[in-house]
Amino acid sequence: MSAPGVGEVSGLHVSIEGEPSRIAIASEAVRRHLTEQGVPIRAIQRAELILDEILSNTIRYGTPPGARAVIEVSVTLRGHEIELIIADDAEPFDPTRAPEKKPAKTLESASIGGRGLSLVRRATDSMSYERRDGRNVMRFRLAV
Amino acid sequence: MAVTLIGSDERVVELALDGRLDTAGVDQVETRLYALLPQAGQDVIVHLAQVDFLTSMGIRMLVTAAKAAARRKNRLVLVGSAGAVAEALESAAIDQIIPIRASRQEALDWFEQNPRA
Repeated sequence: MSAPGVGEVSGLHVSIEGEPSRIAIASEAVRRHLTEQGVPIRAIQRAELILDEILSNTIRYGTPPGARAVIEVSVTLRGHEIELIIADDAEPFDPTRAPEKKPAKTLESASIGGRGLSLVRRATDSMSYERRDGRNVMRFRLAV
Repeated sequence: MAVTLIGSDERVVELALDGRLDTAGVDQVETRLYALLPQAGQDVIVHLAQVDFLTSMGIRMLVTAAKAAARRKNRLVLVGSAGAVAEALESAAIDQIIPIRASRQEALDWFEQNPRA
């Protein structure tokens, strides 16, 4: 049986514990699923970038020390669009309202981190956020 | 994910990264990358041609390495980025703070044209 082509609706749902080593598991599942659907590599990499940045952020900053969030990842291919939904029970965090940092002009003045949300904004075609039933629900849409 | 010392002479140390520079990949290589940075007196070329994916964690590691090199008065140049890696570096405006060159020769030329302070 051949894999469904781009244009049909196909979904994947993954639930992970909020722990750094689990990011690779979610990323691998999303990569395999979108590859099977015939999605071009560049679109898959954009989805994986968003996933890595958001999960990493939630795991590092979203819970008090010692606590772990439960993170749900859904990926749906609809026509020529990928919808990526990331939901977690961590502290409220709205990536659409987070301020964008201005890029540094010199190495000396550059901070080492803080570039994740800029990369997410450039990788996605649209993103939305809602706090629902004590959970952050982030929705990203990417053209294939 | 791996980092390999691929060349060293009296002026330049060359390191090659290979694989995915995401959260998991950075965990695997960052300690070794920092350990391979030379003491004062040698500049650094970091080859990225074999890196096929780069997230902000990877960029954080590269900026940290460039800052560590600068503290020793060494320069660090990134070489050979392409595809999604080049796109991520451009999105984060990394070329403003770390020189990015297409080839090893262009990196060596940059060292020649920008003498040490």
